[in-house]
Amino acid sequence: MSGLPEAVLGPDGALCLQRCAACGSVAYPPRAVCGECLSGALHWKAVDGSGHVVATTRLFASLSQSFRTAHGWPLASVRLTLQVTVLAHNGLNPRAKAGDKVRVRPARDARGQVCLVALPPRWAGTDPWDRLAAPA
Amino acid sequence: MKRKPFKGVAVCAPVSCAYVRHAAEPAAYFIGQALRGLLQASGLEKSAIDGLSVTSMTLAPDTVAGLVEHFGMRARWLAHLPFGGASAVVGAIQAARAVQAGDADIVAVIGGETNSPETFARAVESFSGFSAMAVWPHGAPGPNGPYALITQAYMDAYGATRSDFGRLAVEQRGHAQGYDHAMLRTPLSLEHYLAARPIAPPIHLYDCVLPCAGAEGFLVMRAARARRLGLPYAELAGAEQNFNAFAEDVVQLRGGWAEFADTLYAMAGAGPEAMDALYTYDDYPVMSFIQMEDLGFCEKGGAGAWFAGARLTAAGRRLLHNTSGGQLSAGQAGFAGGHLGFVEALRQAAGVAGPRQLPIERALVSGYGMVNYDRGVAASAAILTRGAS
Repeated sequence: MSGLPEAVLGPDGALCLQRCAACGSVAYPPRAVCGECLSGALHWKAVDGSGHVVATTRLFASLSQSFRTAHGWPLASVRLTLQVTVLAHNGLNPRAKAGDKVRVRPARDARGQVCLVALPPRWAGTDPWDRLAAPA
Repeated sequence: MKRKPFKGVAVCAPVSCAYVRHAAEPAAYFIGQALRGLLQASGLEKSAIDGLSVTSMTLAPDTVAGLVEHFGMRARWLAHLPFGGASAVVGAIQAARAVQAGDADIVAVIGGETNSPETFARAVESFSGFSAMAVWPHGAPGPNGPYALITQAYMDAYGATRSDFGRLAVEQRGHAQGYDHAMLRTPLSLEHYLAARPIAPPIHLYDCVLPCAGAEGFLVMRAARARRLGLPYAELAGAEQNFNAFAEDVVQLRGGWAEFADTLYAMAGAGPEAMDALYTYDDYPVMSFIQMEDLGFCEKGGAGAWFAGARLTAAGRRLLHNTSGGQLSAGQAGFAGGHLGFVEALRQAAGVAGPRQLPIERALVSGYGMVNYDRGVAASAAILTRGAS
């Protein structure tokens, strides 16, 4: 089964990641056991989604029809200040370069799957996916 | 504790089966053809093979245990290696230790795959738990996504250009001209490379491998046995593997090779300058560059300039690289992609490449694999040297 767990999408669109109750580490991608101390007590907590762009690309080839667009589907890798790296849709921030500050929020895509979206730091919308699906 | 050398072990009978783009036959067919090829190449009866090591991402629901029944073998040593392109070297290491310990007499090490649009999409979507959760929802990019980001980060960090990567792809296409099994043999110029359509920039078409079906294999046995059989062979002068090295790096601009290069060369008693040929795992050109750097052929970030330069070996010749065209031209038969380089390195180092034989008596072959999330977690490398006849 592919896709992020529902728990990533917190109330009011908060980014929720697993935090280890034993050592406090934040884990990503989601997992069964803490990668630091091996505790199984990982609890979903709202976390700070701020970070910086590591690298960007545009996909001109995708294994899913949903992401095939003429101009390429923008993607970014983002290093969160929490010291984990996430892959995120980058369509709301298409000109972002390595080092630029961004904020990562979860969203529900057109297929209903939970995903992550990179936003400009001052983005004020409510549902990032709505804007991704119909970019201005 | 100092690692025991692989003394007295022969690696021999390099076999490559013809690649096809799509196949109706299952992976067992291709693995079986490789085994058949190994028997033909060695003159051995099937009953003489008592060890089988298999790598395949398209074999499910079967395993190597099922293959033994399928192939009518009686084995006393089996291995099933899920290490992607690192598996050939890992397979050689494990088989060599089994032979040294007497747990097996002759081990067939085979990587083999089938391929169809459906098997490929399924393998990508469910490649790993991390990937299915954290990569697939973001554009269903397959490996192109993570490697576009790694390639961009490498270019940003070291100033590498698309032309730097292009020279590697172009040179390998030249090597593929003489290699009958290569899927892609149309001559490729740098201009053609640069004008290719984008896949996930900076990755363009000729930075990508062509997924296909096929198999590669070799035998591991005691050197004395290989000599008795009259089989030319190579010795495993050194070999290393490691997993999840440098996990703290934000982007994979170096891999496990940087961690073990010194001990690899110490075991072999020879450094990079003593190699006649280098076989890197070229799933994307950037990874070949990273292997060249981490294995000490050039400084970090300097692979583009080094590759384009003289590349002189201690013998005063140009260091040869991926002499069968690599995966970029020969095609990538799934996890057998790492076996492609290993088997070609063995053909050359053992001196059995026939009309394609090059002046290679010592070759370094590097393996890499398993993009569990945003990087390959498996790294391996072996130094193969011509065995005494």
